[in-house]
Amino acid sequence: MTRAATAEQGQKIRARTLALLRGAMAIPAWPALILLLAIAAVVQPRLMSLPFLLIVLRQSVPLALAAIGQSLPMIGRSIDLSIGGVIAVVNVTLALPVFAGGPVWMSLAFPLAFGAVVGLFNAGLIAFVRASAVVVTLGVSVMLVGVSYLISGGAPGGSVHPFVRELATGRWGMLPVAGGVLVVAALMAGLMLRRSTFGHALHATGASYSAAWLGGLAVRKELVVAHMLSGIFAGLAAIILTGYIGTGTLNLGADLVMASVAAVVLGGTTFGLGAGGVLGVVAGAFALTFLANLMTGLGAGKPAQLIVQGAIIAGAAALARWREA
Amino acid sequence: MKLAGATTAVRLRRLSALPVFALIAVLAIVLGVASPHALSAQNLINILNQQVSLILVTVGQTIVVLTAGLDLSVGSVVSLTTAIASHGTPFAVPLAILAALAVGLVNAGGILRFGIHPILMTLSTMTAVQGLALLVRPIPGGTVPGWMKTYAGAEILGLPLPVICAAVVVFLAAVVVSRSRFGLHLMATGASAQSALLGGVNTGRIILLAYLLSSLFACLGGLNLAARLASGDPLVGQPFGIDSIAATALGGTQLSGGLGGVAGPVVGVLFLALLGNGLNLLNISTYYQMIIKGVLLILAVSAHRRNQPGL
Amino acid sequence: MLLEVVDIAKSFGSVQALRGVSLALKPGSVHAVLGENGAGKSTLMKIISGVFPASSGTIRVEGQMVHWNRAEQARAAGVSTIFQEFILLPNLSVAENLFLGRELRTPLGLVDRQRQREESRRILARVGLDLDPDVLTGRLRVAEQQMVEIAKGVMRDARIFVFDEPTAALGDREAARLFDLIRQLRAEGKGILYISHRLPELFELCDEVTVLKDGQFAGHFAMQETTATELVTTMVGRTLDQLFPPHRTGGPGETVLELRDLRTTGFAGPVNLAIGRHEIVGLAGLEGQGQIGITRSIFEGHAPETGEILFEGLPLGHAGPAGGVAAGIGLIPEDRKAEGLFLPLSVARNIAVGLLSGKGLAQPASVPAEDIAAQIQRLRIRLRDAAQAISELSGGNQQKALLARWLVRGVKLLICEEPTRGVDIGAKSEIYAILRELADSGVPVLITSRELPELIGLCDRIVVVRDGATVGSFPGGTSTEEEIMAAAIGGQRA
Repeated sequence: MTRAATAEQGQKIRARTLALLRGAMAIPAWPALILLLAIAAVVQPRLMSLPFLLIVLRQSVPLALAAIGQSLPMIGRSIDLSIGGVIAVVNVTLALPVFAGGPVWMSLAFPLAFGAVVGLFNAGLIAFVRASAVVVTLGVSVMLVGVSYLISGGAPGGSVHPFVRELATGRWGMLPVAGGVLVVAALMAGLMLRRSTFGHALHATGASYSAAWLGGLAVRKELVVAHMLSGIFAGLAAIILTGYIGTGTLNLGADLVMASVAAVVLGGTTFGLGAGGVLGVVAGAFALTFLANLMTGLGAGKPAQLIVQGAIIAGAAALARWREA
Repeated sequence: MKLAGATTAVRLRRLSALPVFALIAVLAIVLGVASPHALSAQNLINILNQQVSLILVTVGQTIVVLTAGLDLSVGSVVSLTTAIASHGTPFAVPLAILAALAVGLVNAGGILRFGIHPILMTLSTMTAVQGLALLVRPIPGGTVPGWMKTYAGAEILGLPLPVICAAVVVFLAAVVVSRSRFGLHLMATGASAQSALLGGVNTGRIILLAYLLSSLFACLGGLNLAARLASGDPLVGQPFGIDSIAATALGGTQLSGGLGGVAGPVVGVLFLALLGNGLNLLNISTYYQMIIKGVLLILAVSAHRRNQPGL
Repeated sequence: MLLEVVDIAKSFGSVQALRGVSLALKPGSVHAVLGENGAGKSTLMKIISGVFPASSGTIRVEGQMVHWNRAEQARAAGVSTIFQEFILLPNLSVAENLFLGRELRTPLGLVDRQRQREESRRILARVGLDLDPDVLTGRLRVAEQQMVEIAKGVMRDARIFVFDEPTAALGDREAARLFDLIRQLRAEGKGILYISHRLPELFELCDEVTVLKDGQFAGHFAMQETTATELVTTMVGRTLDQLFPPHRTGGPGETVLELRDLRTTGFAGPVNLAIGRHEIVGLAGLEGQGQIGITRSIFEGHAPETGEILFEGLPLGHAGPAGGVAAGIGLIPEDRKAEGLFLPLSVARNIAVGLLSGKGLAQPASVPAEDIAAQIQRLRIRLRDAAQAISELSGGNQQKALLARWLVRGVKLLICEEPTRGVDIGAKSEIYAILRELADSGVPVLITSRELPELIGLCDRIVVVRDGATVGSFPGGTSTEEEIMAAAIGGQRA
């Protein structure tokens, strides 16, 4: 090989490394995850065992599902803060005797259908009435939490369908069933974003609503679908979450709203720009869950976790803007 | 932005608050008929006294909304303030104010310096400051300085001192927003930061001031709340974020910025309070009240149509 | 010298907008800056008014070196700019806009509305506007807004005034009033930079002229010693027939699009217009006379107030751009960045968007790499690779990508608003050639443009629009700018 060819190859490798680095910065979740694992390996080596990592994976499933859902409206420059309400209603509903003792399809179909209806309602107001997405979905969340209190009469409890519990806590060998649910859901969402007209058009709409509209895209229909899917994913997250705790509880899912936004931003997606894809979002959810475990293991309580979570949202958002500039 | 209905700028701003005044008038009539007690002076004074904190927070929220921003962190600032004020340290109150100003500074810094979307930025401080509040006061309790308790209980000519203070603050804020150069620049920035900048407005300073004021007003609301409760509570501020946004939207201040005032949102607070009070008098469960609040928020924001769908 | 600009360069990312431009402004003179779309005039003016700093070079005001990053700094140094884009705030009153940033205040520190109102009346009278100072600025007509903008700039106690195409929206009477104002400023010893590409008014108003071409200095002349032909040659750098493809010699072909007695919202109308299969038709007129209303009516299918639109003999009945695309119409909007491009997305995705319209959301999205590569080659879009973000391309290449979007889809009518706004001269002639090729192949093209030489050079027919009505039609090639301007200004109400 001649010297020139070697130099050229060296340059190519350097360029490729640079591109890789830039790619890594594009999705803060990956460097964050590596950093967390490195810290854990030093201070809490027991967290690094495979069984424990699988437990973290299982724990992260509801957040990951909610975050995949959340990423869709965010790519289209909208937001869904109503997922907490959806989860609260689904949780107390699945704990009703009718659902716990009824046929299993009810416990599976209701959450998804309910999420879709809420998403449709949100999108109607956001896309057609053109009201502020933040305020609309906040209002819907308040309403739904009220509804969940009504359903449970303020005193939730009861039990859920055994299949729902199995879905959330069951294992195939060492592998959690919930992890399988997440993989299937993430694959479907990823395929949709990368390959379907919906995915391409949603990215375009997020990049510029006016240009998408003038380009003849069905901008409002996309927003409707994005919000419905966000609701459906929230419903799915609610099934798994309800399966974990096995009973009805007050305002389950309130924590998941902010955490889902954090996971999305960590995964490289901000308002109008889905650079990180579904994998980034899942990595973001896993990183956040791992962080919570790490901090708990170090004796840091919820306050410290909230502070770190807040810093992560701002940090990841700042990083995204910095990359654009 | 819709400009229908008014041809002069001043009239348009006044008109924006008209619906909420009409709403509260209708509500007052309905309540007066349904329950004679509802409109008694004592009941009204009680409602006012209960709402002083939210009124103060809403004034701050309105200032940020006028610049086309949103401050989701106000609730956490209220919580943190009650936590610090009840901590028992000397200089608790100045410390609380400094902490709040620091939050405002971080919000504005993230938005201006790093270009983070206001919603993401204040979402992040909302979360982090909630953590701080829990750190300072993990469970409700503690006690506030004696003078704060005196303030909360004092009355002048039958009116509670907090109500009088709030009235003064609201009046001053309303004058500043509608008549001062700062108020005008808030609206200019909200309509188009870029045009305002070219037109001679120091938009960076305006946005910084807006978020500092929002945090400061949230802190005042928190101090008032701590004085009333005579203790601190790390979660007490949680509803303030949504409630202040609801009142602002209900009060006719456009969430897309550039149009509105202080009077409308303050009346919006009173409307929500009067409604809650009326529903209580009619023995309607608080669960239904939550649902009604959500519906109202959605209705209010649906009146603020944007040019294109968005946050 | 009042203002000296020496060897200024400015680049945006990889795009070099200005290279080594120099200019000197004497007190008591009107200095024209002339150049085509994309020659760098507006960039130069924005540097002089402090909107953004130059990449290199120096600016001296009365001998003092200055470094500006913000408009305020330039303003404080005595430079007042009347921008091309409107910067008035629609939600403020006229008086509030006029005094924005330097409000008159009462002893209590509040805005003195009464005094501002009185002062505003005086200032408005000076530019010949009889307006209520309390009225919402968003309610004014385009020409009125432009005059308020001018009043705001002129009332400042500045030494240097920069006018960026101030007459684009003005009628005859308003323009005359503006020229009086400028002459008055000159008599007071101020320096005035005047940007325009309307040659006749430069000869009427200016003392000297600096010509820019392709972001570079191309020449400097005393106005009395030069001729229109010399200026055009300097500005264009080659004769016009080299820049434009030859006009079509055959007939227009059968009518593809016909507008009959169309009235668009907010304008008097009516529009009567027919475009043949092989024609390029241009819409001319003053700024904001309803040209965009016409193009958008066709594309977006706004229900017209009256009249009808026939496309290939059938009435168009769609609602929204998706319907326009389905009918076979493509639109390249005038504001490319805001309404045309998806800046963070790749060039390939930006082009492939043309194929997404009308497809079911669940259908697979196609990004046909070969077709896209073929268009990139055909239009000679210069890029690293198709996966590159479109924001990194130059204006000309971005515009070509938008063309490619509709070529990949294959449209039956192309509407192109301001086809060469912010496009460098090399790309310009390539774009012209493609548009001509399209027309020859049976895809008629409707364009709007602020540049009369472009309309004359490119179009087969130029239709003049005034207050939303078609008021004249001129053949391309042989018409003169004067004829067309006369029709555009006409008996326009001032």
